[in-house]
Amino acid sequence: MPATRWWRWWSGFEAVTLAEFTAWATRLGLGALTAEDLADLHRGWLGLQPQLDRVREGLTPADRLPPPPLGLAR
Amino acid sequence: MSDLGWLGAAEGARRIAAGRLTAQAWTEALLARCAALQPGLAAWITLDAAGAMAAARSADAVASIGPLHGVPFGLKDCIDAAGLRGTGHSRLHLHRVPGADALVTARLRAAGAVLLGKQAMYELSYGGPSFDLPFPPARNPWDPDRIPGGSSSGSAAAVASGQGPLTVGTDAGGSVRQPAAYCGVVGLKPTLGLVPKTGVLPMTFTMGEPGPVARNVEDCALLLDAIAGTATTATLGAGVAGARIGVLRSFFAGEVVAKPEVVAAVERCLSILAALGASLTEAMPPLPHELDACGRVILLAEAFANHEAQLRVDPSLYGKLARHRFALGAFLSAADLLQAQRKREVLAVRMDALFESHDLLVCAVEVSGAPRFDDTVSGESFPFVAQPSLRIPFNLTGHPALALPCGFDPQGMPLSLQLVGRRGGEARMLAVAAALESKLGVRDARPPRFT
Repeated sequence: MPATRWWRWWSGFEAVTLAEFTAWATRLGLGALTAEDLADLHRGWLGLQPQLDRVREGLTPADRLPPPPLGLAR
Repeated sequence: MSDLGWLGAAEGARRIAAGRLTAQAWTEALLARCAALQPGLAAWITLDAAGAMAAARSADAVASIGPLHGVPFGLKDCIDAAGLRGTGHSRLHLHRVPGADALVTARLRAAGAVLLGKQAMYELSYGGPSFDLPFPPARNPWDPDRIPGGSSSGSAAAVASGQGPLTVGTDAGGSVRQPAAYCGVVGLKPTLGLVPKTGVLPMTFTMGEPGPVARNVEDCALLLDAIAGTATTATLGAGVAGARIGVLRSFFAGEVVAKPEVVAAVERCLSILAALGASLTEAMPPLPHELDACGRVILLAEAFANHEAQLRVDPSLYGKLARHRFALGAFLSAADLLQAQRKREVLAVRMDALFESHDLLVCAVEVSGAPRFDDTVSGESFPFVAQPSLRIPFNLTGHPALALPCGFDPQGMPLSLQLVGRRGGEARMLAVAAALESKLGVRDARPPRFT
């Protein structure tokens, strides 16, 4: 599967199918979840996309810099 | 049922100090009431009758050492008590017996308070209400066919039904305030970092901490002072006059639309506050959807981080709702969490700015009274994708927030006002809440079925 396709799911740009989501869960080490679990999680993931969009958008690099690594002064 | 079930913490401690009541008599009466109500309300996971009576005897053996001396209390089952089973309402920790008290437990014992036992909750503070766990879900004393809210569900149900005057819950996404609102009791989420989390089974790392639940503001302040080292009771009579109150209308009659009875209850509170001498103006916070989305991403990511190892090995040990809610965070990217944390700082600064012209903010705690167990939303894994939470915003920004009973809906279910203070501003918030409570006429309200 092309890497760009993963990115497109992750970015919420393209709705992931249940089969693709199941394969994704396996890659993440969640292969012990049942088909029923994955179907519910898939619905949850699709439902979460508008919220993720709000988090991913609307910030610019100038808004707030992330904290520096430990040991460095702010 | 004994009237001692409805005795408040402050009044009970006064009677004990004056020699008009013993801790043993109060504790014994409450233990009997808890046992009698357990089949109908399931508020407890572990009642420690022997330990409670021993603590009560110790309290009676010495002179009063303070305002909680001899006062019985409960703990949400994720807060440790040495030698007492602490399951987090989960099969995962069914036989877990911590060797040490949580810091809040130790502080309450040192104040002379008497631990009754550990209370039911949503599984590990996220999965509920669930019927596939080793213990049944707690029920709402105002209508046992309705949920008490969560995740500190048994804590609110117990206090609301006269099974103890005080309890400590935890609130990482509204888990004290929602059940307090649904059960008609007072619940406080303190300023982020004010109350220590040592000895508490974690759900998240950065969003919440323990907070008090009580039947009235005075008792809530007493409990906060004991677990946080604050002195809010000293200024509880400060009143409302001169308070600058910002109304977060977008949280109940704007971007979020609450039921008409909720809006009417909030408006009534605003009228009373104005009559008491507060100045009211509209406050313009960040959008509720924006605050909720940011908080939700952080909650999901941190909850998954807590449970990743177990989910990989054997997710079947969790109930369905906890399993699904914990696992969803796996699909978030590192960039999502980083962006959410960056946005959190921006939103917190914008919320702080509101306190330059306001002393307090007010809105609703919930958009309606408690739903029924068989309501479709109650059993869904991800109800939060449809409606933003009105409580998570203040977990996100770290401001203290209080759920104050303020009336009832047409079905007789409690409704609640949310007061939000500046960081470290619990004393001012509680003083205004106490003044408002004195005019609302619902202080210490008793559910008709459990009087």
